[in-house]
Amino acid sequence: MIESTKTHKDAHNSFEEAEPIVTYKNVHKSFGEVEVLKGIDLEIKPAEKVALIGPSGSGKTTIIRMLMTLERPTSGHIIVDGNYLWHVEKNGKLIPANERHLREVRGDIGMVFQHFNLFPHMTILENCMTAPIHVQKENKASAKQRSIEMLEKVGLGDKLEAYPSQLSGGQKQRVAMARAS
Amino acid sequence: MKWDVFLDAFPIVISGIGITLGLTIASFLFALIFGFFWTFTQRIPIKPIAWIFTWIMEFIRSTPPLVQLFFIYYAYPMVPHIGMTLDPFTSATLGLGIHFSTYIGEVYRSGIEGVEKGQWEASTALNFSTRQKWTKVILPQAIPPTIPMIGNYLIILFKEVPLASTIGVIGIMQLAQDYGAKSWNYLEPLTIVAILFLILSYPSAILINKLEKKMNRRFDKKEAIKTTHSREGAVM
Ligand SMILES: Nc1ncnc2c1ncn2[C@@H]1O[C@H](COP(=O)(O)OP(=O)(O)OP(=O)(O)O)[C@@H](O)[C@H]1O
Ligand SMILES: [Mg+2]
Repeated sequence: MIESTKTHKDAHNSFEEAEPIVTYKNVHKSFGEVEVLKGIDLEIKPAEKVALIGPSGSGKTTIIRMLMTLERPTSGHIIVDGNYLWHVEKNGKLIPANERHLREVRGDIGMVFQHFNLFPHMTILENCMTAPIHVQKENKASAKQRSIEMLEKVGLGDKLEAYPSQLSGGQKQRVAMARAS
Repeated sequence: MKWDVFLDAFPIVISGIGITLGLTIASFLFALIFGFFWTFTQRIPIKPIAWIFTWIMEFIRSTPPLVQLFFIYYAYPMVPHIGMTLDPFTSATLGLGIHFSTYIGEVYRSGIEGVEKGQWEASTALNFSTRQKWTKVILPQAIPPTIPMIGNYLIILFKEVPLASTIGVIGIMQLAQDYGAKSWNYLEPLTIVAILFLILSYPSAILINKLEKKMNRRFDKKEAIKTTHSREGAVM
């Protein structure tokens, strides 16, 4: 998921029928006394591209962070590909999910952070290959191959062995995109 | 200073160097490992339990290592049920090791807290397990900056090792004292002890200083780039 300030929503008829991949149902989020999100309802269909726009501090990042399980909604439900993200169904009741469930549902979601959050102790290439190797258990050679292709696609083929501190902001952003996909 | 006494005392005193260095290494390793225990206790989410451990750490840190050595060697064997007699070397390893582990634990904690929150979030977003977050992302960033501090504690610990002679660990200090007591020449053997400590501590201190500079440079890379930019800006 990429944060963007561009307004752009693909309106295409075929989206109408498809089951949503992400659904927010009456999601509230408060930080202490302050309610930042006051009942968000949102449906995103597969292959749909959605841009969230709003003034600074209005809660765009918070909406995405909840999808990435970095922030827990105060109330409401988020459904990813038919599964509750923050809850599990047990005997017809919804109970809070444990870490294992979160890991399972979170599996295919990627995120580019506002500050990129690259790993400073790893090279650009290592930043991209570490999750495929250690989380998805892909073999090293193919993960490396794919990461190199991805980085070449975003124009960083000559920076594979560089460290994040040696990159410009835009270059970091492109690494973050390659890492998230 | 009588040179014949110096030369006579030298081989005797230096024969204890193995014990002195051995105790330094053993107690330091103990401190490095046990330090993780303290760091872990500080992260227990149930606050009152974490506080109890903070208080114990504070207690160990604010009592003299000498008292702790005496406690382990003389008093611990008398504790009902769990007490047992330990030989001097083991007692000293435990005493110095536990004392220094409280400092080391604090160093680890500062290293871990120095890692940005965003690093935890990025590793969550990449779906790392808790264990992987620690081993692949957090510790590799938290430990290197603490190496100079840890090195300093090694030197401080090394200089505390002569304390162990008070419970009968026969390192260079004890041998020098024995030599003095037998021959009534204290100046020469104690000078030898001082020289030995100097030639071991001083190069280590220089080494650590170098390491510290290297670590600082590593984490300043970004700063260095920024400064170059602003300088260019000023020229234009
Ligand atoms: N951890 C937090 N604790 C307290 N308040 C928070 C926290 N995170 C966000 N907020 C507050 O929630 C509000 C929404 O923040 P959010 O980061 O979602 O805004 P945003 O729409 O992404 O803004 P920007 O366009 O500047 O990135 C802000 O007022 C912010 O101060
Ligand atoms: Mg934001």
